[in-house]
Amino acid sequence: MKTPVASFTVVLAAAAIFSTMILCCGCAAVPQKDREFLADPAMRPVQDELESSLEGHNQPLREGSAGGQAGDGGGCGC
Amino acid sequence: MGVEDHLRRAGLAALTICVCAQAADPIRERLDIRYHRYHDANGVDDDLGALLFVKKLAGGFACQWEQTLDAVSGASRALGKDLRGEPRPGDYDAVTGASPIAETRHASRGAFVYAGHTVGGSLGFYYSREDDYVSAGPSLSLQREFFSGNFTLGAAASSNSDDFHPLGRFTGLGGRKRVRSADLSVAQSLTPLTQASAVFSWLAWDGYLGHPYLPPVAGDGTLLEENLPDRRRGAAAAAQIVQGYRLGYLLGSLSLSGKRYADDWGLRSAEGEIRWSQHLPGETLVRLRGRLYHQDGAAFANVPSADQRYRTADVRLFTFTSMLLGAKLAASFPDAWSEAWYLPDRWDIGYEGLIRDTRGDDLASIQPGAPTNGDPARPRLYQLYGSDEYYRQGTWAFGMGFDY
Repeated sequence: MKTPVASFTVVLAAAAIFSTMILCCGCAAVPQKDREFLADPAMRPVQDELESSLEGHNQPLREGSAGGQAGDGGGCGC
Repeated sequence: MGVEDHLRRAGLAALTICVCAQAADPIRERLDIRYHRYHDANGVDDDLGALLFVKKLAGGFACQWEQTLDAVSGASRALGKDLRGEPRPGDYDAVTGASPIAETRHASRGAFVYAGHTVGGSLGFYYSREDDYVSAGPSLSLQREFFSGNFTLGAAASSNSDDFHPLGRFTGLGGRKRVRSADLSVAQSLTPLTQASAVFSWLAWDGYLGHPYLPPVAGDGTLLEENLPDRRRGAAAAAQIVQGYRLGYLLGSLSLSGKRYADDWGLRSAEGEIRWSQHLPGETLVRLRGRLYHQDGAAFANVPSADQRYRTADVRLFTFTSMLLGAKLAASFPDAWSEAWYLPDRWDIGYEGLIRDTRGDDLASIQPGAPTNGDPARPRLYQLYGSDEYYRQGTWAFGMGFDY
């Protein structure tokens, strides 16, 4: 089997860099009164909770993808 | 004692709880109903119905219930026929595990959700059951906002206990496994029309991790027994940025996201997605979505032979690329219509088509004695998909929602 160390290192390094970038922006706050658009469905990272839940379980099963679907349990799908 | 026994002893107390909180979001009482219909080039259909019910309680708490029923039908009977002859009623397909009759899955997910001023969280429980598979487990998530709500830090964890007890000629195989995951998420509002987020995940599987319905096929065409490691560890990192814009009074957005995954089985994947959303007059929202996914298969995902330590024919562990394109239209009925005709407050319709490209998996030119499903150049080595070719699938989706 391939060693996971190299790939994990890349993943974690990318994660650390992105987190640092976001944290550095943390003090540049958008005033509360200017945040109304951020709550709009068009702006939300997940636009529909139920749709996202169904896709999260079924799409990997039907597509046959194994790339990091959190929880991967919850049913055989066969 | 099986998973179900534990649940019975607990008096199904678990049925009250579950996952999926986005703490920064105010809780909205509603009933959402969805129906998805999946189809693919092998004649497989999956009818999936689900509802989500959210009810506010006192003090910032709410309870929510998600119920899902899906029925997968007729998967790859042709492949089973090719290997074993005509399947009999109630028999199970040698390759896919899908029977000639539909297999159903019932899944329930309940949760207590809390959304305070700057803190949120959820405690939930999931339970699903199929004829040959039971899964259950708790989940927990916590979120805290900082910098006047501009920065959100979140953590989530889940643990599922699965019990896979295959039927038909595979009775006696299978086993139990435990699937654990932990996520750390950050989200930042960068401008009034820009927000970025990232999620880092750790995943662990222990126990029986195989799929005995998918026996590897040796070079002479005989079926081998699958054998996989009983331990797997993986990690993933995902990032997303959403940039909004305004066309007059109409809001639109462009979302870019990416994800990388790696595990100690040697499986690697990369995923990129672009999503365009645009409000139109009349409370209508159009969404177009494109996604590209590629995975490099596990170290042992290759031509199987009896002398290999690990061997598999599970399609999920092989190399492939997939391309998805989708469109969705969401809208609201006028209040007067909804009240007069009991129409839903919201509805949506969408379709997503996917092409799975297994070219380059290096399996087509080998296995001279393997079953070919009528095409000598295309031995079918795993689950529903032929090797070294394109494969089509798609999903229609309909949804409606009631606010109250």
